[in-house]
Amino acid sequence: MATRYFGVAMKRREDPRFITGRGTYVDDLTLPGLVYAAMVRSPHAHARIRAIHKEKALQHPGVIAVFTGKDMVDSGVKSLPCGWLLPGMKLPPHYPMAVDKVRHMGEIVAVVIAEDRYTAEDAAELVEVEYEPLPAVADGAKALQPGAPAVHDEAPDNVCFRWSIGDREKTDEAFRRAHRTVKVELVNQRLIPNAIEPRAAMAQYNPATDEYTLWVTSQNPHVHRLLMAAFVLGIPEHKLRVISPDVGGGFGSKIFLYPEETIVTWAARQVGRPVKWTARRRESFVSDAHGRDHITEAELAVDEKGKILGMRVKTIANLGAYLSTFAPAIPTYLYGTLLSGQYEIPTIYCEVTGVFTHTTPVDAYRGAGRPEATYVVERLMDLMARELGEDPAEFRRKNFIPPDKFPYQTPVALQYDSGNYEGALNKALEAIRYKELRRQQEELRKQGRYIGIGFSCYIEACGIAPSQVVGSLGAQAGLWESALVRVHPTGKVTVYTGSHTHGQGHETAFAQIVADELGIPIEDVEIVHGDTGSVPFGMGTYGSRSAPVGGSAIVLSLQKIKEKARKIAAYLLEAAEEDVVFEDGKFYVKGVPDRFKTFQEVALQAYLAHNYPPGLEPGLEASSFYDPKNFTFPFGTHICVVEVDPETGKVKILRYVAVDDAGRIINPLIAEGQVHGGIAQGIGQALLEGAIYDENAQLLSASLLDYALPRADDLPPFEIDHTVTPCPHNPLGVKGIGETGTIAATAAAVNAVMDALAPFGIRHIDMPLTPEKIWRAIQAARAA
Amino acid sequence: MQLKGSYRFKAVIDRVWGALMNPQVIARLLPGVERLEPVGDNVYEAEMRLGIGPISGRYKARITLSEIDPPNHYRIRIQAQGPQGTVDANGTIDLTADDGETVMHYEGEAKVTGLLMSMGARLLEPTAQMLVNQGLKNLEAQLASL
Repeated sequence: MATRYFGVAMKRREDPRFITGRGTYVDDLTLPGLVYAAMVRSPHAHARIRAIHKEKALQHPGVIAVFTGKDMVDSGVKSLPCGWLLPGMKLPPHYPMAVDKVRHMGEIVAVVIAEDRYTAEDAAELVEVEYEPLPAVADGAKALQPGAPAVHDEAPDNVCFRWSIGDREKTDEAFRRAHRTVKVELVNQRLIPNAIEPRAAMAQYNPATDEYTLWVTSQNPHVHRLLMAAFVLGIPEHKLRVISPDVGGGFGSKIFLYPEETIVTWAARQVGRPVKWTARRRESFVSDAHGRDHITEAELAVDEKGKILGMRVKTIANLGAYLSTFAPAIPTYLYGTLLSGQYEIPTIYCEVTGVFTHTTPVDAYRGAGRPEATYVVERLMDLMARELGEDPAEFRRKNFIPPDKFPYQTPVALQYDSGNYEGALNKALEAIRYKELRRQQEELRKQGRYIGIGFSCYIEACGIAPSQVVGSLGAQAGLWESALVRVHPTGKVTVYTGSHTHGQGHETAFAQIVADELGIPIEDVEIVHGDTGSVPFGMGTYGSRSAPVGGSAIVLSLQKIKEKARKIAAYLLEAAEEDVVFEDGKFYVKGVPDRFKTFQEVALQAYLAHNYPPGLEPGLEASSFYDPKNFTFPFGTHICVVEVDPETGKVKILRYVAVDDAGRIINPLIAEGQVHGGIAQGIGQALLEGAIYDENAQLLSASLLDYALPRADDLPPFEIDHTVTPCPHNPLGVKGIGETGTIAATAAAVNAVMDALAPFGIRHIDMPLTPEKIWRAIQAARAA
Repeated sequence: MQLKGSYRFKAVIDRVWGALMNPQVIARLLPGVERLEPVGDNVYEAEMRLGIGPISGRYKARITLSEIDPPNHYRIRIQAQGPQGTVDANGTIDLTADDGETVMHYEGEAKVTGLLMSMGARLLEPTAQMLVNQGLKNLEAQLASL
């Protein structure tokens, strides 16, 4: 394969339309007769609905209809489904609108449909709901205490599931014979996603054809269609078309089937006009699925040589009031399975209790389970290094899985296919000039300045697969990907991918792959995604799966195209098929490169079929469904350097070095952008962000006034590098890089701050590491 | 949210008590009351306009007086519901005669929900304290003019 595009840092082809305001997002769309929906949301975290009075809202000029949860259920609407089932799990119903009780602040109790958005919002305030407030609980640990208010009658103790992985007895035994152990309690606080584009949905029903069309901010339109049609609204799947046009960020929050798009789709038929809803930012805060929210007790045991003997982890995972689409998978199979990190750990035992609370549902958020696991592992590694008085880098190095042990079977189900952890660590140490930095740290401490160096040697598992395995673990879906490659008579190519781009740059990266494989200019390639009306069934984009799974599906289709094109070319060249070579977009007989047929000539002949191999079908298109053999395992070392001001508690990040190994890189510019964004989000969690509920389960951090997202001036320039260990089992050798930054950065930043605070004897502070918390810890340490 | 404080009125205790039991005075004492009607023994319904920071709206409130011990003590509960959330406030008022004047101690807590809480939490307590102070000054002025 001649490489002209693969590996080139091309500017993104989609950017001109985005940066000139020509993107088309759901809220930009309109239709003749369009009306608008406004949601009436519960102010209470827990209350019985005594009555809902629609009259005043209905009398408001411009209001077309008001519907309640009862109206939907009476018309046959079913519960939103959960896409991942664990054995013995409690699965209480989750209707698009509350029927008799509300279970979290912001839950929808009614919808107002009106001629314009302002009227709908005004009239929503006129819907009178009689509530009987009930006691509520927001904290996962408090929800488990006896006498805590129950979220669902089906789970009186608020336990949704108890799950475990690893060998308990073997692990307990390892701790019994340990030379040294460390233990820490960690809170991985709840985060609120905040994609730049709020969620939106517009639906149309055509009574002439009995067809629905839904435009929605979705990371996986086919999954939306399947869940909504087959499970909730009872629409035949072929009568619902789901289109997800330009989407401005998702971070996981746009994977799930939400109440709002279900309501507008149903309502469009009820009112006989197209209906649109776009979230206000304050609605996003209470209705987008939140992330993380773990309370964990973690322990690590080592022998006399400082080699790890075992790890024990106990986690309470707050799931919120209802099970969001993939909620049960995140704190279990995407968390417990990652606890081996980069290390040889002979035995691990992890148990997780999934808990209902009166809060917004929690589901996948960038990294989804893997940042939580990395935080546990990397905090333990630092605490143990400090306990043993060893250098944190050398303690990690000593416990790495060595390169000659791959494929490596962890004690928590995963089999790592490849890795060279020391390579990435060394590169990062060199970049940061580690030894010199440690000397500097010593000197500065003498001057009363507190520098800290934090490591995060992370592992990620992307492209969760293969389907048969995830099915056996409880997934209610396959996790393959589709690609249809359609070559037009002029040799131009349209690729229909089941992946979905909402910031990842697929229109560029996928086109680079196609242009190389077919030897055609990148301008001749169009990438189409996000429309169930044109794209074959696909699983969408999340879990850094697009390149390894979606990209591989495209490669499989391109191989089929090339095989058929070679047959046609051989016929035209009057040669045997096996003698025909394809290079730089030209077919020729081996050794006779001057006599050739171009890809475009072959494409034309495929459609003319005039001068054509007998028995061969005309046309030139191919579709594939690629089911990966395994996850891919990106890894790397991130090092964060901070300075903490002991008088104010303020943290300043001085340097940040990231060495990632995501296998072969299709487009370094896009990869770097992904790493940048990921690190920003990871640091955001470490230092700034956190959802706060009060004792009545009211969300206090419910707007950008109170929820601190990282800003440019909170972050240093990132120093980014790569090592390349190709994935051995997919055709591109790629692994995925969408989440590495988020997975690694949180632990690196927290470890850096704790390293800075080591002279005070401060061992651990829970995130976010705000100046106030750090200042209080320093005061307490000085007083002690 | 909790509120607590005291206030000295330049009036004898019976006059202060009389004012505090008069619905028309209460209507002027509470913030933003646009209508207040008795609907039962010591139970009133009111419409109030309330604003905290960027969140404002019209609230329907039910006001219940209990533990009435003239002229020293009563308990007041205000349950308000509006488009931006709900308020459930419960508190006590105690009067003590002191040298021809009257000292009032008030104490109470409020559960606030919805946007009022999520957007206004940080402004809630100062705003509530300001409204209480305003109400007490109003009462002082009314006592003077009675």
